[in-house]
Amino acid sequence: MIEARASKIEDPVAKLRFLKHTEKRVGQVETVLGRPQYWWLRNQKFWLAIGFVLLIPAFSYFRPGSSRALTADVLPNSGNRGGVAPFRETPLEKVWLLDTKNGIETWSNGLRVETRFTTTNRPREYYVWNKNQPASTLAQLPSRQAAGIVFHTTESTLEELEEQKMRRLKLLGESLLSYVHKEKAYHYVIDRFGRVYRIVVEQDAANHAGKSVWADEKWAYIGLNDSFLAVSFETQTRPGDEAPIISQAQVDSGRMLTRMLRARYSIPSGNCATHAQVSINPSNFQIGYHTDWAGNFPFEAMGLPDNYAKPLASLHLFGFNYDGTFFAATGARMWKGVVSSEDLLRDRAQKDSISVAQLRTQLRNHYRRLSALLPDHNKTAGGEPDSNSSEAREVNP
Amino acid sequence: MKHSNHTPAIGLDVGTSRIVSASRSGEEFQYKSQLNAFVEVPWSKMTEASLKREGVPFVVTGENVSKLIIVPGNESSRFADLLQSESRRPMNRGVLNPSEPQNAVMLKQLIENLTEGDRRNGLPVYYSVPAAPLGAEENLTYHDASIAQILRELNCEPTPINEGLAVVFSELEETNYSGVGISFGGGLVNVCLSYLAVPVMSFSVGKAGDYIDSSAASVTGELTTRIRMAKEESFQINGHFTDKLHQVINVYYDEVIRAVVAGLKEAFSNSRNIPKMGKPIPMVLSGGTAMPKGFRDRFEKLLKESEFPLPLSEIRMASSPLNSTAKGALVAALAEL
Repeated sequence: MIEARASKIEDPVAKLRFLKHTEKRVGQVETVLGRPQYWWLRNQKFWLAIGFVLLIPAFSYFRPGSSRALTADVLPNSGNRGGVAPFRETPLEKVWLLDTKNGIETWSNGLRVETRFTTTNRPREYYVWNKNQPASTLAQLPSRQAAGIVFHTTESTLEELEEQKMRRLKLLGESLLSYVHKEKAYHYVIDRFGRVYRIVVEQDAANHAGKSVWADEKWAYIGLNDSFLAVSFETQTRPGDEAPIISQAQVDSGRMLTRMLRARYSIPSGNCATHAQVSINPSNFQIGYHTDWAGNFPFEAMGLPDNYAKPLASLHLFGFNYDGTFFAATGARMWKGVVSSEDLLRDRAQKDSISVAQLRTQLRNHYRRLSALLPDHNKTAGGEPDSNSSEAREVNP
Repeated sequence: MKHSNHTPAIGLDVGTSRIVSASRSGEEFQYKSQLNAFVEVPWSKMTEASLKREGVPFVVTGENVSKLIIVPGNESSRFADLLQSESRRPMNRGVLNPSEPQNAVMLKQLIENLTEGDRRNGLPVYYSVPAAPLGAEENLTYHDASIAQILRELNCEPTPINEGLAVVFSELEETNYSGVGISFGGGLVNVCLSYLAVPVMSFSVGKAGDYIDSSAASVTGELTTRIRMAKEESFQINGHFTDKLHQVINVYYDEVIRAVVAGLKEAFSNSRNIPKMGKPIPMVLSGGTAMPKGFRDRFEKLLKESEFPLPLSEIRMASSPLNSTAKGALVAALAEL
């Protein structure tokens, strides 16, 4: 028990340090505060039990001597969904445009996209920093295609999803689409009925993420308006671990849209994050300025791993911090990413023989330097890539 | 008393009434405090000379006829009483006072005085910030950013910490930082429920010490400065009162306690995040407004009457109510080093 271990620590500072930096605390807090939605998707014991229940009749049915053989068709996706193994990345099937009729695109994976609200914005232009080479400088990748997806909520007025409220639901949806079209706010909006609307064309930036940061295995992206695509669900964010307001139609469309975008732009699953995960406030170096999908985004239902567990680049690469308000807005799932970020930060401080506070100061100064190098229209994207790399073109600020 | 030059960090309680700083030298915690107020005195050569002679810190501003002497901090209360004027307050209801043009300047002066003697170059400073009022989404970003900016200008490395959580870090080490910390300040009462050092829920209540002062002042016709002095010097809740002033203060104290109890009940009854901790947790009361004798007993009585939904193991006063927020902020800072 985490409490028993903490109780043995006499020094109050050491005790607090232990409690703040132990990953096991997450599980205990989760237990006490209640499990997040979709916990069962990630619970290994749950899936083991389900698998066991399924296997007993299957074993007796397909026992030796039976004319039937156990095939993959009988237990579809057992390897992927069983929960015994963590989420496994599956190759993305190719998705292509079948046809466009009456302003509706039909894609090969069943996705239908309405284009009557489509608009353009400035062409996508973003900068990256090679996080594995801290001394490198800002760069542009040769390809300017989208590097990831940010999931948003429209935070617009909602009405009960009932048949007798159709007129008001349609009215709310239309006014929302007009607004986001005018603001060039997202690349895609998925309305309450699961209809997918393209707003800003994919080649252009959308005004969706504000000050924001994310990183993959190699690159850090600062300012995701230009580098990431925006998919917004017509809904409102619920606090903490409360169930999200999202219809099955929205989930289905979201999954197909995510697959299409990932397939077209070779977007790794790790570069699909929620606005709450990427949003920052550089004026006070706090994360979570926006809290869209702060703790209950159905990553698994979108065919993605639980990216809430991923470390937040804002915390461990650029020295941002968080406060109690942020914790209250998020759920236990996102807390895992926060804790793992803190672990990375602490490990690095230990390696550099400096305090975490000193390291944070260094990282914040680094963020300020990078941000200052960015062009005005893109004051949040940046990084220092490998100047010798052929993959990146150095920026001359 | 100057802080040790070797303190690895500083905890700062930026309260409406007082600013308290905490530092650590070896195993010992050290505190300094200043009233978060100032008075303006018309300049004269004699006044300036006498202030110097008395060792009262002051600042001279303006030119010629508009020349003024500003007395910030602890001495401001005495001067306000002497001059029969109200002291001015850089903060109001827990945040920067929007109607005080000198708010940031005076706050910087006070913080600078409090951190005098510390090597401030990159010194981590954890400073307290209030929680949003119950049921409201108050934007505290400006206040938070302003304090951070002041500290950065003083070459410190600022980090905000919720005031109620700081009380938990100061007082609830024995329960592994699980429990409820309440800071009864001048502008706000800040509440935080923590579980294993995680702030589960926090909020503030707008009726606090200043409400008692201003309400009592309006009824009695006294200056709020004098009400505050009477409150701090000789007041006892439910005591035997010989004058109207103490009776009036008692009435408004009761109203503040009832408002906090109602807020606690509402917050913990409505929240879906009420923890199932399995065992009762402690509640600790701190802050200058909780200092009068009998406060804890009155609070406990009213809380019990309200059928508060969370099982409590005890309700107790902080060991050092005026310093607990600053100490908790320091503990949080030290834990990050």
